[in-house]
Amino acid sequence: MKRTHLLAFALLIIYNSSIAQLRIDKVIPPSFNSTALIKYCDHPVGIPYGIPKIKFPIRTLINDDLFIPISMNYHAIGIKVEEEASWAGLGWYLDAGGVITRIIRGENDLGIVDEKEATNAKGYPFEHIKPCFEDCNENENVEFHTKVCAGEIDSDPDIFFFNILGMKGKFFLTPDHDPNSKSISIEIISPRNMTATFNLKENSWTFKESRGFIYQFKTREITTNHNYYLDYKYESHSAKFDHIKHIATTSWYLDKVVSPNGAIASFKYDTSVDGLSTYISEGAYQKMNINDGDVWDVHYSSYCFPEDIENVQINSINIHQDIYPKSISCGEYEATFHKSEQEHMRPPENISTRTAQKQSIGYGRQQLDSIVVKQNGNIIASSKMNYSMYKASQTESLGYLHRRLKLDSLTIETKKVRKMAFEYKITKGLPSKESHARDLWGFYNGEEDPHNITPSDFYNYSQPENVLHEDGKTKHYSLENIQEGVLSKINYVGGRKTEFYYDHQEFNTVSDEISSHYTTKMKESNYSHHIKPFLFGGLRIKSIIEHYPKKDLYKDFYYKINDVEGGQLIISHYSHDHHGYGHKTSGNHTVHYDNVRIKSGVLFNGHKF
Amino acid sequence: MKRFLATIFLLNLIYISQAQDMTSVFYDPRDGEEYETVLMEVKTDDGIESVLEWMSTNLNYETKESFCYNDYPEYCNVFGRLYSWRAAMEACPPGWHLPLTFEWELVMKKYGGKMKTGPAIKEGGESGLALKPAGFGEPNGAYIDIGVDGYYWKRDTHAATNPGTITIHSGVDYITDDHVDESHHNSVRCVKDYK
Repeated sequence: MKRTHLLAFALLIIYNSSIAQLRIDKVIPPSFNSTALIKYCDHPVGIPYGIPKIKFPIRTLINDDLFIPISMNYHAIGIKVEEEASWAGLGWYLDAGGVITRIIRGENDLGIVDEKEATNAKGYPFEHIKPCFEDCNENENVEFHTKVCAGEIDSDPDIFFFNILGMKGKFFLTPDHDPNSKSISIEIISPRNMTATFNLKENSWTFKESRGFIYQFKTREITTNHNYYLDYKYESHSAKFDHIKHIATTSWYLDKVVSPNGAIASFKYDTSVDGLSTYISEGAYQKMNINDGDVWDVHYSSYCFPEDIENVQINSINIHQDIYPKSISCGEYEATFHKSEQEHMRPPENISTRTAQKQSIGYGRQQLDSIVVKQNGNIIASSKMNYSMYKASQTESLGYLHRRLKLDSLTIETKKVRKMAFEYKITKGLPSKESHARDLWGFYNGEEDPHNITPSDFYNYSQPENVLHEDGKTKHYSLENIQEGVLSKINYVGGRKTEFYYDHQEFNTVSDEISSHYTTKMKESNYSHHIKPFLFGGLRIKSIIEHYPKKDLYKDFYYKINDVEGGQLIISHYSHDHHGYGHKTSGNHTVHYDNVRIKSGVLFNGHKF
Repeated sequence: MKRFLATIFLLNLIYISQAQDMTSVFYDPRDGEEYETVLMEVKTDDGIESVLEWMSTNLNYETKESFCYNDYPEYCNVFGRLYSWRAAMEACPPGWHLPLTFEWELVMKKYGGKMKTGPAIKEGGESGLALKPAGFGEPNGAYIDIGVDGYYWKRDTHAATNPGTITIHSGVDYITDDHVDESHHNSVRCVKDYK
């Protein structure tokens, strides 16, 4: 939808609606730590996706037919502007147990259990609203939008992401559930056949795998979302102010696994007696200024404006009650996790915090310091992490807007000791998490233009279809800036070094699964600029060089087959059996390469043999 | 052989229904080491379809007569260990075995035969097998060819004691299928047992 159309539509809505209630970009993201899972579900790692698998196994806990792997993983697609570091560092993810997390979009799909006062939850399982799957024509009408703005129906399904002992995927609730049921069941068909059941009374999940494994998720992470709205009136120099608050469960953590043979693994978290966490962290603002025709690339149905809107600033703050793993027990094995509060993330005393909830000393955002694994009480493995903070490109007043945890080294001690030190590409430093200098996919592009209106790219899942390349916009892509902060080198004690070199993602064809509306619009904007193959956000691996004490080896990655770019734009796969409710526009795209040729050899005096 | 393959076919029907993304993970109970696996659909000359589960990373289980390239442990972390023939015959974990000649042939046949199969079975190839150029070791302690060629042990039958190798070469599409000197130290991939 072009900008003019969008504005006209918004004005029409305003004209037609006497509802003054403000409803703004209703997206509630999960906590900083749970969010780290999302990129693994949207952009799987591995050579077919152009993303190298960078994984350091720490120890697998074994009890009969039950295996609980613990590993550290790095995702090298690039750092998005809004992206928060997990408790293991920016770009890093600790795989240890499991979690189900979600991005709440529009209404809370499980509102009936989160909002006790709600008599009629408006989420997907309860209101049989057909989602906007194709080109959204069906939903692009005044009646639909009026109902959305009135809070009568939901505009978008929440997206759920899961990680169960390393099995990752995503799903959403299709609107074909019995509203009177006490539970909701979803058939998961990849990576394995599982039935996911949400128990409305307990607010918990159970996954039953076809092989007989049962996974129970009961420990909940809560997010409080504050939306602040300020409308400045030019003539009267007055302002209108509004505030809306929502509280929702955004993650459920794995508490217990039972294997087909009856082996059990139990997971404990750092929670208080009520089962909730007293650790508090604040997410970065999702901020917008809507004052003129600069509103573009906005999923319009997320926005409902009061009648007399003039110059609106929208701020959204998310306060997370963070859940941290404490221990895993599995037969003879026990793994314990040790953490401490991240430095410099707390606002200085002389600056009033934007957080409505005060963080107690020691209970702010945490970092993972070490993991200890015991067998029958004896230590058999341990790992230790050392951190610093990334260089920030701007003066830092509020740490949590600029600071990101940087994993400097990892030591894994089993029968042998492995120590790795990590280097990242750092030149100018990472931008503020509120920066508007983003390309269409949310990666940093260096264009610090305050008028470049940017919605919540990281979470809203709207696709930048018809504006991939549009004149006069500052959302273009920049390879140099995307690489800022990305892992560039690993130094191993003993002399081995691994260097990573990146290129940008490209594709030449578009999967039939993606709507023709998207494809047509994309081609129009790209062909007019003679751009093919098409660009896609983020990085892909170009070359890996391994330096050993007496030998240097290289691997060059070729994505072109017979001189034609081999990438295909696809919808990153959903895991559920969606019963005919497709998902053509409800999810992120990614690029898949069917064949990648790797040329390897020996590097000698800078020459590749 | 037909009866043997029919058994594979029947036993693997269950796998076919579960193998949506055709990859999995195996944890070696002997040391907790993690191996990614690929479930590969193959077809015999007789048209019998089956699924074989192969490790898609080189075995890295420490045994007698297994070595790291240049005796440097970091090579093992990337390329797995290099096994003597005697060690290779016993190296795979319980429930897994050293690949048999006909199992390699089924894979090669699927991807165009010996002269063309290289790109598909090497890292990045469509088979997901991701064979690596791990080089080989000699009895005198010399190590050769890492980053260039990869040598993988095979045997003709479960009881056979004469060694064979499949060799991948950098920069070319063909592979070499040979019976070789058992004194070399080569890489090991394992295939899941069918019964």
